[in-house]
Amino acid sequence: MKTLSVLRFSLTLGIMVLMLVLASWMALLSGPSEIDTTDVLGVLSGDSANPAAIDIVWAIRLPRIVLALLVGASLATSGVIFQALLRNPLADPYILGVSGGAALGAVAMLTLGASFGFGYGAVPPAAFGGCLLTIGLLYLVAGRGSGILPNGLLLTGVVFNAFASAAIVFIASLAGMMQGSRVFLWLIGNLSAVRVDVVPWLAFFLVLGLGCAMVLARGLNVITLGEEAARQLGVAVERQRLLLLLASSLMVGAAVSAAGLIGFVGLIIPHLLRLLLGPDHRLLVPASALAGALFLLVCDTVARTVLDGRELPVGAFTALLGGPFFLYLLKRSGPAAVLGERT
Amino acid sequence: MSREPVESASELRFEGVSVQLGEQLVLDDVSFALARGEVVGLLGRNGAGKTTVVRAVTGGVDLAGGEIRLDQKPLAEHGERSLARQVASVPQDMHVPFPFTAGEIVLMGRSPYQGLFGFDSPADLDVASRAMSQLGIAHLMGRRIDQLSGGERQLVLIARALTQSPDWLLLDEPTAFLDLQHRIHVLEVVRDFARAGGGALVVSHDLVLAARVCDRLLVLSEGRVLAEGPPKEVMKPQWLEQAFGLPVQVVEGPDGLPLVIPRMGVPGSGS
Repeated sequence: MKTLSVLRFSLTLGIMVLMLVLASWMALLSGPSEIDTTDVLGVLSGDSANPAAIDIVWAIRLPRIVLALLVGASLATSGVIFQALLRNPLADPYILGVSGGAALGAVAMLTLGASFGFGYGAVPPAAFGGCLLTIGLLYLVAGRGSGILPNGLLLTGVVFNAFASAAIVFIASLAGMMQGSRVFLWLIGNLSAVRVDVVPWLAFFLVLGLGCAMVLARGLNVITLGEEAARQLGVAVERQRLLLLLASSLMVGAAVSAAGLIGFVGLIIPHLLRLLLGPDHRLLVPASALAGALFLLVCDTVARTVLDGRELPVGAFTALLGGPFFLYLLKRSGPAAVLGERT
Repeated sequence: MSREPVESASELRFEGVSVQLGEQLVLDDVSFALARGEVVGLLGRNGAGKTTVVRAVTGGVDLAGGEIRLDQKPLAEHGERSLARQVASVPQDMHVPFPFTAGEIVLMGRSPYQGLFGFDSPADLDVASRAMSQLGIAHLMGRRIDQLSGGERQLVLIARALTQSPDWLLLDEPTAFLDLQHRIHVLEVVRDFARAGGGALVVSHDLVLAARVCDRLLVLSEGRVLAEGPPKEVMKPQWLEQAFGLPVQVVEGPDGLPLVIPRMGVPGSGS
């Protein structure tokens, strides 16, 4: 019987790691300032005497690459988890409004929290709280018994997203944050304002969330068959679902705190990988993390280099790709296949 | 049917089980026992509570009263994984939102035996492929579950249940989508399972086959047990007419077992 073998597992992930290394290298070399391979090698090995190159590599490009990798991996991993738990291939933290809830929490903390003396450190917890409240809202509105109505879920997400964006603009304008692009950064995510202090949190929550999802990957497979089937097969559905929802909320909260609203990564990546690798979460989860990292890094590198001297926010870039992709999925599989039956 | 005390030590027993769904009392004080080595058929019209009997065991519905015991111990005390190694159920159908292959679905039956992250052991693969061969669907192994017919999907679900290596098998209309040949084959597999020491409960609308495969029959009507016993005792017009709400005639088939013939063209028969 054909199944996931050690060889297929390690070969697939190995190839993806290689692609990731290659893409990171290309990203290190890309940018408005001309730095060549020798410069970068010199800087990385520590014997470069070119202060400009040292600065560009260590202070600008490398942090941004790391941020792109972590945010991309976090978003794609939480996308896979949401899709499995909600049994809906269209579930994505952005489409469900979970990212929007996180951004709303973050912006509220940034503006209102300041008057209570909270600094930037309170933003990720607020974003995490926003995620959890949104998930609670989704269950409250679209939940039926222990399941959730897929079309109700998507509708609630879409409506909540619009509400969250409006609320963000409202709060921001009250707080006088409308000047410049500060509020814009939250609505259309981008990686240009790298907060180095968020990176360790981002990495920590990614390891935690990805670790949970990989350890429970077999359970995730079974949960996609439905709650009753999963329980019948000995999976502790409630416990695993709670753990995984918390883990993905932490990942989304951290990603949004670091980069604002970047959409569709969690939708596009798992879907493409399911086509390439199949739906087995033991492979799909780590592969999505790697591919999400790769995807966001490539998008961001293109977004910051394609226009000479100006940067596109990478969130606009992923949404430009993701919007049509979402419609294509809806059209191709038909609303019935996507909305399915109730879980 | 009288049983030895040794046999009754290992049984799946319903004791006064009631289940309420919304306003409706779907099961009302249902008591019966399923022993090892026997196939029990569960009969009754749509909405009589047959599926709920199966779901009560697998945790799909909460009990409003009574208790279900497996080997004298309440189900809840068995633990999820331990229960899944002992009891397997086959639902009527299943919606799978992702493109798993039939082989992957069957292999999920090994879940209660497997640890957390890891690869499937050769033993797991062996159990799964034997179950598929037994049901004659080894050729479907690499096919996507969403591209199979209803009957093929049903066979996959039965193979998954066998892959759980259970002692008890609960099948909810396992043959509803199957042609006659596959119906017979599935019921033979179920009978072999019981002969090998397992206990099987089969929900069925096929009165002809139920009388031939089941050692005992249980007739449900409006959530209550109407009749219970060997096919020859239960398949009598007075029980069946009450259970199904239409006049029937029961004759003895050439094999000596009852054949139920509905009388057509009467009010309530739908013709």
